[in-house]
Amino acid sequence: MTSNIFRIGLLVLLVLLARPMFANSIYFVSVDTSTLPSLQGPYQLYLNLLDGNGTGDANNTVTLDTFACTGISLSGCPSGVYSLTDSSFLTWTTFGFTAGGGVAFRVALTGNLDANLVPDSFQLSILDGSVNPLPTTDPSGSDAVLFAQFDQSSPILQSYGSPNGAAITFSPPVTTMAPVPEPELGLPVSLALCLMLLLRQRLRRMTGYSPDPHGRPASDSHENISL
Amino acid sequence: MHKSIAFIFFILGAPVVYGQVDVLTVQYDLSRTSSNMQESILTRSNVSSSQFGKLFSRTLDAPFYASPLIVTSLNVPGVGLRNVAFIATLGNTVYAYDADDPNATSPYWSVNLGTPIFIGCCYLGPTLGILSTPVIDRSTNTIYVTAIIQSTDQSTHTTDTGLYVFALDLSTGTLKFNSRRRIVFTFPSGVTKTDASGWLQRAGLLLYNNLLYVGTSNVLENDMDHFSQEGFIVLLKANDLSVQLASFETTPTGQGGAFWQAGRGLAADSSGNVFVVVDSGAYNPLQSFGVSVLKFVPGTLSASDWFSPANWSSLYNHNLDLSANGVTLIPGTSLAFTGGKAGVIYLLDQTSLGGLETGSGNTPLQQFQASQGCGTTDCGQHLPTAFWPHQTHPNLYVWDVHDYLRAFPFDFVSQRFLINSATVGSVLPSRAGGMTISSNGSTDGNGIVWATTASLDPYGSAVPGTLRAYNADDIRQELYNSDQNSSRDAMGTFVKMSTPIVANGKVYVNTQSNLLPVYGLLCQANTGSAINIIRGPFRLLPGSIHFKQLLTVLNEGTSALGAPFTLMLSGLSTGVNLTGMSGRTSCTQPVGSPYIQLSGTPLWLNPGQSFRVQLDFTLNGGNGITYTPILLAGSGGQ
Repeated sequence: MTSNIFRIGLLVLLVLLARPMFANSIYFVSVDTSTLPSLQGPYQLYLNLLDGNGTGDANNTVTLDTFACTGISLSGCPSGVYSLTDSSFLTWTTFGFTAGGGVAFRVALTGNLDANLVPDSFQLSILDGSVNPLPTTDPSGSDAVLFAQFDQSSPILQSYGSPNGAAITFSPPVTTMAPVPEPELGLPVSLALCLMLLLRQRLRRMTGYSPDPHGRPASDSHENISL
Repeated sequence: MHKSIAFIFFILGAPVVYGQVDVLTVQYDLSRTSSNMQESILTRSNVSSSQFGKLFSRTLDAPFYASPLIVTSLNVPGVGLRNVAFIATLGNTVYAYDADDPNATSPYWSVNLGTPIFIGCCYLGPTLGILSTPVIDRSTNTIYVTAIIQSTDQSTHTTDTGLYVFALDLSTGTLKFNSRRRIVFTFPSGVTKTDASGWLQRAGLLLYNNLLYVGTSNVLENDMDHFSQEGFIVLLKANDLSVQLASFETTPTGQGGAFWQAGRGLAADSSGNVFVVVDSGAYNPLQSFGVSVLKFVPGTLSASDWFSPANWSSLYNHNLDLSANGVTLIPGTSLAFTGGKAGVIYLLDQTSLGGLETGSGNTPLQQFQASQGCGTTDCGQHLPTAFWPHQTHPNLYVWDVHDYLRAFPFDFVSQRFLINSATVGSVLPSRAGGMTISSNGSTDGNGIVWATTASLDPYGSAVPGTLRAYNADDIRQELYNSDQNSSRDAMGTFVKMSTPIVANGKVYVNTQSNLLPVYGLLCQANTGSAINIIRGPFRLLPGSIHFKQLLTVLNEGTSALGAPFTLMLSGLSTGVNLTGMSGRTSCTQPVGSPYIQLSGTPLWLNPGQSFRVQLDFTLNGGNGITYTPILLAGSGGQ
């Protein structure tokens, strides 16, 4: 009986620990790169995520995926999934693309507040062939094309064009979508674990198997659960 | 300037200014209380030798008897809004110095109004120019000053000495309102006096409703009669000094009656009635008012009432000036008090001064020996008093010559001084210059009595002075004196009749040393929970190691906080450089924290008001950026 309570409690605990990391805001972004002069390429998209706590508390994630391009060859179109988690003060990555057409992608943002109330921040910039960011109207001077600060449960993505209307446009304008949960790995793993434990318990009842060398009933065993 | 290291400041709140104090007239107010009830920075808990001392001094051309005047948020051309201290010297120079900034060693402007008289004396002098405390009208941006000026006609080798009134623009020092104007007195005999040799214009000027009152003494009808020493008051139109509206002679039918009030100002009630006290002189009611308190009809120099003590003749004969103290109107009542060299305080009814004391009902509301006084022999110069109009424990403070500081509680219910509950201090100086009281309204625990004293007799030579601070609720408790750390805090030489001016966390003191010493908190004050510092996200310019962060500094308290402001970053993580760092704290806790002295902030951060600061960090091998921001306010070290 004690073992059953223990197992049930453990299951509950595992489910609770498997807190899903929701993508609280999802945006579909389209960047018109047709005005970028090809001579200044090759271009890269640069992403960074800065932790407001200053040291990396891994409580927020940004994901870019679902890339689609128009007017760009398939090889010049980004693909795959790029995900940043603020597990250190600065987390960043870059990936290339070919200028000349439209690049569309999805941006998913979680929405957790930092303990010291300094919000995490996400920034996307375009780097030219010299690995310098293209200037934008970002008032902070950081030349972001996209920027979000994680100061609310549904972070708002802001966009900045380039000065004097050159180079970067957005079509359609950045749009906020309804928050959609985006489970992280922990939840399916935990659910799978729960399922395994339930199946194992059922199997024991059916076979009378007991790992206890002294022949005590399985329900009284103190077996550690191994993942 | 590279944009990444620029510090950006701007005000978000409405520019409402309050919580700061202008000192526009001698003794702070027209009631002449000598109390500043709006001092929120200096408290009993921080006025001690360990936290309070001399911050800086300003150089002057001569000693100064006039009280420093303070104007906050003055628009100084080419500089912007600043708190400015106005100093007027015996050398006839008016200075407009920054009231707060230790590094602003040059005045915003100064103007010399003319050559003063050389009198050579060390006690009053060596020159005699501006003696009285000017008065400031903020509504017209004007400071009014009187000066004795001597000029020489080179062709005839004759000199001319005159008393002049000036109206100067507060921001620039330029003349205005048809000044300068020479003061002329006409005796009933028709003798007109313009030569100001021997005149002493001591009493602080009064400005009320575009009327400027100037009182002078030692104006002699017969220049051979040096015992005469008549007193005069003139009334001028403030915005056109060419217009003299009235003139009053104190003793037209006799001698004496000088008007000096130990430098204190003419008092005025809210209706414009003006109260003065006249020196020893002939008493002949309705004509001559020696040894009398006088009340003038608003807008005139027509006496509507008076009080003269029964022993006026004795006081006159022994030169025990009643004018050695001005008239103080007790706020919230219709009472007034005065006192003189005899050390007696007279409590009077403003609405019925009583005329000559007869002892048969026609007596002061209260009179008592408040100090040992002079006895029957002239012994000193004045009777320093200050009244603290605290709601629940108001006090009258008296510090006479060769006497102890004394405090007399006042009862607002019975409207009398509780003389049996008086307390006595423990310091016995040779002279006390004057006193001022500072407190944060009627909040308990903050009242402080400030005074200057001299341990040596200052008549023969200039002697060192001491600035002292006492618990206003218990004057037996001295909080501070400038001799405790004299190498740091030495006041300079003592000036009689001078009152320390306390304003916005600073104390300004008169000296004979051609210096204005300014005292305050040695360390800037931690603003604590009154300030909410809202930190924005970190930002990074791709490819660089410069991290920027925008901070919003918001005053969530109930009092205005005075600049300068310093941002301290407590516990800044290692491996992080702070661009623009001014140094590391050695005065403010925790020691060793990097700080930035902020510039371009508002002069006063009022409740609800905010400004922004952009920080620029460079990460050199560190793992991240962590710190706790703390805002320091007011002058002092870090």
